[in-house]
Amino acid sequence: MRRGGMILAILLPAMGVGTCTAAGGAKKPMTVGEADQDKTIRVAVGDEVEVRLEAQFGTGYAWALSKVDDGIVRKVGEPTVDRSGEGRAGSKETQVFRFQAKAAGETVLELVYARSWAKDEPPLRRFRVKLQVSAPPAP
Amino acid sequence: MDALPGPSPPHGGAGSCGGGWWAFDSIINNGDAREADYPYTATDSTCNNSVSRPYRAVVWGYVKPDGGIPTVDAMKKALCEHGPLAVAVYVSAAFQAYAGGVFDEKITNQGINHGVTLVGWNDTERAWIIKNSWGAGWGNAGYMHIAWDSNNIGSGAAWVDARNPYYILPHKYYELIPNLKPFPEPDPLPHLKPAPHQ
Repeated sequence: MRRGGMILAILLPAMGVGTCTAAGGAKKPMTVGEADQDKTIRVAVGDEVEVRLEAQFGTGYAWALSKVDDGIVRKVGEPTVDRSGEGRAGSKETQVFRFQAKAAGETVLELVYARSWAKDEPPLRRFRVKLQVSAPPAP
Repeated sequence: MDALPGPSPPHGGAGSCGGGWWAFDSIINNGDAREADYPYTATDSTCNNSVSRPYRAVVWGYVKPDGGIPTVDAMKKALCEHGPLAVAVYVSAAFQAYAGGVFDEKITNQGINHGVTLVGWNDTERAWIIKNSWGAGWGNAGYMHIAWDSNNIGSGAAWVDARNPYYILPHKYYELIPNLKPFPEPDPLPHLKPAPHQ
Protein backbone atom coordinates (compact mmCIF):
# COMPACT_ATOMS: atom_id res chain seq x y z
CA MET A 1 0.00 0.00 0.00
CA ARG A 2 2.72 2.37 1.01
CA ARG A 3 4.74 1.41 -2.06
CA GLY A 4 1.68 2.06 -4.30
CA GLY A 5 1.31 5.47 -2.74
CA MET A 6 4.91 6.24 -3.52
CA ILE A 7 4.45 5.23 -7.16
CA LEU A 8 1.39 7.48 -7.44
CA ALA A 9 3.28 10.34 -5.84
CA ILE A 10 5.91 9.99 -8.54
CA LEU A 11 3.51 9.40 -11.44
CA LEU A 12 0.84 12.02 -10.83
CA PRO A 13 3.03 15.10 -11.14
CA ALA A 14 4.68 13.57 -14.21
CA MET A 15 1.19 13.14 -15.75
CA GLY A 16 0.31 16.76 -14.95
CA VAL A 17 -2.38 15.67 -12.53
CA GLY A 18 -2.96 17.46 -9.27
CA THR A 19 -0.18 19.96 -9.65
CA CYS A 20 0.11 23.51 -10.91
CA THR A 21 3.69 23.98 -9.95
CA ALA A 22 6.24 24.36 -12.70
CA ALA A 23 9.80 23.18 -12.44
CA GLY A 24 11.71 25.53 -10.24
CA GLY A 25 8.76 26.07 -7.93
CA ALA A 26 7.02 28.91 -9.80
CA LYS A 27 3.27 28.43 -10.05
CA LYS A 28 1.97 27.93 -13.59
CA PRO A 29 -0.71 30.38 -14.69
CA MET A 30 -4.25 29.09 -14.91
CA THR A 31 -5.19 28.84 -18.60
CA VAL A 32 -8.60 30.09 -19.69
CA GLY A 33 -10.10 29.87 -23.19
CA GLU A 34 -13.32 30.20 -25.13
CA ALA A 35 -14.74 27.08 -23.48
CA ASP A 36 -14.73 29.04 -20.20
CA GLN A 37 -17.05 31.77 -21.51
CA ASP A 38 -19.23 33.17 -18.67
CA LYS A 39 -17.70 30.84 -16.09
CA THR A 40 -16.46 31.81 -12.67
CA ILE A 41 -12.73 31.33 -12.21
CA ARG A 42 -11.39 31.11 -8.67
CA VAL A 43 -7.82 32.19 -8.02
CA ALA A 44 -5.78 33.44 -5.08
CA VAL A 45 -3.91 36.72 -4.78
CA GLY A 46 -0.63 36.39 -6.64
CA ASP A 47 -1.94 33.77 -9.09
CA GLU A 48 -1.63 34.37 -12.81
CA VAL A 49 -4.37 33.76 -15.35
CA GLU A 50 -3.55 33.24 -19.01
CA VAL A 51 -6.37 33.91 -21.48
CA ARG A 52 -5.89 32.22 -24.89
CA LEU A 53 -8.27 33.21 -27.67
CA GLU A 54 -8.31 32.37 -31.36
CA ALA A 55 -7.94 35.33 -33.72
CA GLN A 56 -7.63 35.85 -37.46
CA PHE A 57 -5.53 38.99 -37.93
CA GLY A 58 -5.98 38.94 -41.69
CA THR A 59 -9.59 40.00 -41.21
CA GLY A 60 -8.51 43.15 -39.35
CA TYR A 61 -9.98 41.84 -36.11
CA ALA A 62 -8.04 41.25 -32.89
CA TRP A 63 -8.87 40.72 -29.24
CA ALA A 64 -8.46 43.68 -26.88
CA LEU A 65 -9.05 44.10 -23.17
CA SER A 66 -12.36 45.84 -22.63
CA LYS A 67 -13.15 45.56 -18.94
CA VAL A 68 -11.50 44.49 -15.67
CA ASP A 69 -11.16 46.01 -12.21
CA ASP A 70 -7.41 46.53 -12.23
CA GLY A 71 -7.40 47.01 -8.47
CA ILE A 72 -8.20 43.29 -8.29
CA VAL A 73 -6.68 41.83 -11.46
CA ARG A 74 -4.01 43.52 -13.55
CA LYS A 75 -2.79 42.83 -17.10
CA VAL A 76 0.81 41.61 -17.24
CA GLY A 77 2.74 42.94 -20.25
CA GLU A 78 1.44 43.10 -23.80
CA PRO A 79 -0.49 40.24 -25.38
CA THR A 80 1.58 37.76 -27.37
CA VAL A 81 0.74 35.65 -30.41
CA ASP A 82 1.12 31.89 -30.75
CA ARG A 83 1.41 30.62 -34.31
CA SER A 84 2.43 27.30 -35.72
CA GLY A 85 4.10 26.88 -39.09
CA GLU A 86 4.57 29.51 -41.77
CA GLY A 87 0.86 30.18 -42.04
CA ARG A 88 -1.35 30.85 -45.03
CA ALA A 89 -3.26 33.89 -46.11
CA GLY A 90 -6.20 34.09 -43.71
CA SER A 91 -4.71 31.62 -41.24
CA LYS A 92 -5.63 31.72 -37.56
CA GLU A 93 -3.47 32.42 -34.56
CA THR A 94 -3.89 32.43 -30.79
CA GLN A 95 -3.68 35.68 -28.84
CA VAL A 96 -2.40 35.23 -25.31
CA PHE A 97 -3.19 37.70 -22.52
CA ARG A 98 -1.74 37.36 -19.03
CA PHE A 99 -3.24 38.75 -15.85
CA GLN A 100 -2.25 38.64 -12.20
CA ALA A 101 -4.59 38.68 -9.22
CA LYS A 102 -3.58 41.63 -7.05
CA ALA A 103 -6.23 41.82 -4.32
CA ALA A 104 -9.12 39.80 -2.94
CA GLY A 105 -12.47 40.52 -4.57
CA GLU A 106 -14.54 39.79 -7.64
CA THR A 107 -14.34 41.30 -11.12
CA VAL A 108 -15.59 40.61 -14.62
CA LEU A 109 -12.82 40.22 -17.15
CA GLU A 110 -14.04 41.11 -20.63
CA LEU A 111 -12.20 41.07 -23.94
CA VAL A 112 -13.71 42.12 -27.25
CA TYR A 113 -12.89 40.97 -30.77
CA ALA A 114 -13.02 44.12 -32.86
CA ARG A 115 -11.28 46.25 -35.47
CA SER A 116 -9.24 48.85 -33.61
CA TRP A 117 -9.88 51.63 -36.13
CA ALA A 118 -13.62 51.04 -36.47
CA LYS A 119 -14.74 52.68 -33.25
CA ASP A 120 -18.39 52.87 -34.36
CA GLU A 121 -18.68 49.15 -35.17
CA PRO A 122 -19.83 46.85 -32.38
CA PRO A 123 -17.39 44.05 -31.52
CA LEU A 124 -17.82 40.83 -33.47
CA ARG A 125 -17.38 38.71 -30.32
CA ARG A 126 -17.08 39.15 -26.57
CA PHE A 127 -15.30 36.92 -24.09
CA ARG A 128 -16.24 37.19 -20.43
CA VAL A 129 -15.30 35.38 -17.26
CA LYS A 130 -15.89 36.26 -13.64
CA LEU A 131 -12.74 36.19 -11.55
CA GLN A 132 -13.12 35.51 -7.83
CA VAL A 133 -9.88 36.33 -6.08
CA SER A 134 -9.38 35.01 -2.59
CA ALA A 135 -6.82 36.14 -0.04
CA PRO A 136 -3.57 34.21 -0.27
CA PRO A 137 -3.42 31.12 1.90
CA ALA A 138 -1.83 31.70 5.29
CA PRO A 139 1.86 30.78 5.26
CA MET B 1 -8.59 40.13 -54.82
CA ASP B 2 -8.37 39.47 -51.10
CA ALA B 3 -11.14 36.90 -51.17
CA LEU B 4 -8.37 34.35 -51.35
CA PRO B 5 -10.38 31.25 -50.78
CA GLY B 6 -12.66 31.78 -53.75
CA PRO B 7 -16.42 31.85 -53.42
CA SER B 8 -17.05 28.72 -55.44
CA PRO B 9 -17.74 25.50 -53.60
CA PRO B 10 -15.81 24.57 -51.56
CA HIS B 11 -13.89 27.82 -51.45
CA GLY B 12 -12.65 27.29 -54.99
CA GLY B 13 -10.44 24.50 -53.76
CA ALA B 14 -7.97 27.14 -52.63
CA GLY B 15 -8.59 26.97 -48.90
CA SER B 16 -11.26 27.56 -46.30
CA CYS B 17 -12.36 30.16 -43.76
CA GLY B 18 -9.23 29.13 -41.86
CA GLY B 19 -6.94 30.27 -44.63
CA GLY B 20 -5.85 29.31 -48.09
CA TRP B 21 -4.00 30.39 -51.14
CA TRP B 22 -4.83 32.25 -54.34
CA ALA B 23 -8.13 31.16 -55.87
CA PHE B 24 -7.20 32.01 -59.45
CA ASP B 25 -7.88 28.49 -60.72
CA SER B 26 -11.42 28.94 -59.46
CA ILE B 27 -11.72 32.31 -61.21
CA ILE B 28 -10.57 30.66 -64.44
CA ASN B 29 -12.97 27.73 -64.07
CA ASN B 30 -15.99 29.27 -62.32
CA GLY B 31 -15.64 33.04 -62.58
CA ASP B 32 -15.72 35.74 -59.96
CA ALA B 33 -18.47 38.01 -58.62
CA ARG B 34 -18.70 41.80 -58.48
CA GLU B 35 -17.63 43.08 -55.07
CA ALA B 36 -20.98 44.86 -54.70
CA ASP B 37 -22.83 41.56 -55.29
CA TYR B 38 -20.64 39.50 -52.95
CA PRO B 39 -18.84 41.80 -50.52
CA TYR B 40 -16.07 40.66 -48.19
CA THR B 41 -17.47 40.40 -44.66
CA ALA B 42 -14.41 39.19 -42.71
CA THR B 43 -16.56 36.56 -41.02
CA ASP B 44 -17.09 32.83 -41.52
CA SER B 45 -20.19 32.11 -43.56
CA THR B 46 -21.46 29.58 -46.08
CA CYS B 47 -20.75 30.10 -49.76
CA ASN B 48 -23.40 31.84 -51.85
CA ASN B 49 -23.39 29.74 -54.97
CA SER B 50 -26.23 31.58 -56.65
CA VAL B 51 -24.42 34.89 -57.03
CA SER B 52 -23.56 35.90 -60.57
CA ARG B 53 -19.87 35.47 -61.50
CA PRO B 54 -19.38 37.43 -64.70
CA TYR B 55 -15.61 37.85 -64.51
CA ARG B 56 -13.09 35.26 -65.51
CA ALA B 57 -9.36 34.97 -65.60
CA VAL B 58 -7.52 33.21 -68.39
CA VAL B 59 -4.10 32.61 -66.89
CA TRP B 60 -2.08 33.37 -63.76
CA GLY B 61 1.40 32.76 -62.43
CA TYR B 62 3.83 33.49 -59.63
CA VAL B 63 6.26 36.36 -60.15
CA LYS B 64 8.97 34.18 -58.62
CA PRO B 65 8.48 30.61 -59.82
CA ASP B 66 8.80 29.07 -56.33
CA GLY B 67 6.20 31.45 -54.86
CA GLY B 68 8.74 33.23 -52.68
CA ILE B 69 9.35 36.96 -52.37
CA PRO B 70 10.57 38.29 -55.73
CA THR B 71 13.20 40.99 -56.10
CA VAL B 72 11.96 44.57 -56.15
CA ASP B 73 12.80 44.84 -59.86
CA ALA B 74 10.95 41.62 -60.70
CA MET B 75 7.87 42.83 -58.86
CA LYS B 76 7.94 46.20 -60.63
CA LYS B 77 8.27 44.45 -64.00
CA ALA B 78 5.33 42.15 -63.25
CA LEU B 79 3.22 45.13 -62.16
CA CYS B 80 3.94 46.91 -65.42
CA GLU B 81 3.24 43.81 -67.52
CA HIS B 82 0.12 42.50 -65.76
CA GLY B 83 -1.28 45.22 -63.50
CA PRO B 84 -2.01 44.78 -59.77
CA LEU B 85 -0.50 41.71 -58.08
CA ALA B 86 -1.78 39.45 -55.33
CA VAL B 87 0.75 39.36 -52.49
CA ALA B 88 0.83 37.99 -48.96
CA VAL B 89 2.05 39.77 -45.83
CA TYR B 90 2.21 39.26 -42.07
CA VAL B 91 -0.43 41.29 -40.21
CA SER B 92 0.44 42.32 -36.65
CA ALA B 93 -1.32 44.61 -34.20
CA ALA B 94 0.77 47.51 -35.56
CA PHE B 95 -0.28 46.66 -39.13
CA GLN B 96 -3.92 46.71 -38.07
CA ALA B 97 -3.40 50.08 -36.37
CA TYR B 98 -1.73 51.71 -39.43
CA ALA B 99 -3.14 55.16 -40.11
CA GLY B 100 -0.63 56.73 -42.54
CA GLY B 101 3.02 57.18 -43.48
CA VAL B 102 5.33 54.32 -44.46
CA PHE B 103 4.75 51.13 -42.48
CA ASP B 104 8.17 49.66 -41.69
CA GLU B 105 7.76 46.84 -39.17
CA LYS B 106 10.29 44.03 -39.63
CA ILE B 107 8.58 40.83 -38.41
CA THR B 108 10.03 38.23 -40.76
CA ASN B 109 9.95 35.10 -38.59
CA GLN B 110 6.17 34.68 -38.46
CA GLY B 111 5.44 33.73 -42.07
CA ILE B 112 2.33 35.34 -43.54
CA ASN B 113 -1.34 35.51 -42.60
CA HIS B 114 -3.04 37.87 -45.06
CA GLY B 115 -3.42 38.64 -48.75
CA VAL B 116 -3.55 42.13 -50.25
CA THR B 117 -3.35 43.74 -53.67
CA LEU B 118 -0.10 45.43 -54.63
CA VAL B 119 -0.96 48.36 -56.88
CA GLY B 120 2.22 50.45 -57.16
CA TRP B 121 5.39 51.72 -55.56
CA ASN B 122 7.24 54.84 -54.40
CA ASP B 123 11.01 54.83 -55.06
CA THR B 124 11.66 57.76 -52.71
CA GLU B 125 10.02 55.94 -49.82
CA ARG B 126 11.35 52.53 -50.97
CA ALA B 127 7.83 51.30 -50.39
CA TRP B 128 5.04 49.37 -52.08
CA ILE B 129 1.54 50.76 -52.25
CA ILE B 130 -1.01 48.12 -51.31
CA LYS B 131 -4.78 48.06 -51.27
CA ASN B 132 -6.34 46.21 -48.36
CA SER B 133 -9.77 44.62 -48.09
CA TRP B 134 -10.74 46.26 -44.80
CA GLY B 135 -12.63 49.21 -46.26
CA ALA B 136 -11.79 52.88 -46.75
CA GLY B 137 -11.89 53.50 -43.00
CA TRP B 138 -8.60 51.65 -42.52
CA GLY B 139 -5.14 53.12 -43.17
CA ASN B 140 -4.85 55.76 -45.86
CA ALA B 141 -8.37 55.48 -47.33
CA GLY B 142 -7.96 51.70 -47.48
CA TYR B 143 -4.36 51.82 -48.78
CA MET B 144 -0.95 51.46 -47.12
CA HIS B 145 2.61 52.40 -48.06
CA ILE B 146 4.75 49.53 -46.79
CA ALA B 147 8.56 49.31 -46.90
CA TRP B 148 9.91 46.85 -49.47
CA ASP B 149 11.29 44.51 -46.78
CA SER B 150 8.55 44.82 -44.17
CA ASN B 151 6.64 41.83 -42.69
CA ASN B 152 7.30 39.45 -45.61
CA ILE B 153 5.38 41.64 -48.04
CA GLY B 154 5.54 40.13 -51.51
CA SER B 155 5.34 36.48 -50.43
CA GLY B 156 3.56 34.43 -53.07
CA ALA B 157 3.39 37.44 -55.42
CA ALA B 158 1.19 36.43 -58.32
CA TRP B 159 -0.24 38.07 -61.43
CA VAL B 160 -3.51 37.17 -63.09
CA ASP B 161 -4.79 38.16 -66.51
CA ALA B 162 -8.51 38.76 -66.88
CA ARG B 163 -10.50 37.38 -69.75
CA ASN B 164 -11.24 40.05 -72.27
CA PRO B 165 -13.74 40.09 -75.16
CA TYR B 166 -10.88 40.97 -77.47
CA TYR B 167 -9.01 37.78 -76.66
CA ILE B 168 -9.19 35.00 -79.19
CA LEU B 169 -8.96 31.84 -77.17
CA PRO B 170 -7.52 28.71 -78.76
CA HIS B 171 -9.71 25.63 -79.16
CA LYS B 172 -7.60 23.87 -76.56
CA TYR B 173 -8.77 26.37 -73.95
CA TYR B 174 -12.45 25.48 -74.48
CA GLU B 175 -11.59 21.79 -74.27
CA LEU B 176 -9.81 22.29 -70.95
CA ILE B 177 -12.61 24.36 -69.45
CA PRO B 178 -15.83 22.67 -70.58
CA ASN B 179 -18.14 24.89 -68.50
CA LEU B 180 -16.79 28.12 -69.98
CA LYS B 181 -19.74 30.25 -71.02
CA PRO B 182 -19.69 32.98 -73.66
CA PHE B 183 -18.31 36.29 -72.45
CA PRO B 184 -21.18 38.32 -70.93
CA GLU B 185 -20.38 41.48 -72.89
CA PRO B 186 -21.34 41.71 -76.58
CA ASP B 187 -18.53 40.19 -78.56
CA PRO B 188 -16.97 43.01 -80.60
CA LEU B 189 -15.30 40.68 -83.06
CA PRO B 190 -17.76 37.83 -83.66
CA HIS B 191 -16.26 36.99 -87.02
CA LEU B 192 -12.97 36.16 -85.32
CA LYS B 193 -14.50 33.84 -82.73
CA PRO B 194 -13.16 30.32 -83.08
CA ALA B 195 -15.57 27.82 -84.55
CA PRO B 196 -16.99 25.29 -82.08
CA HIS B 197 -14.75 22.34 -81.74
CA GLN B 198 -15.92 19.37 -83.79
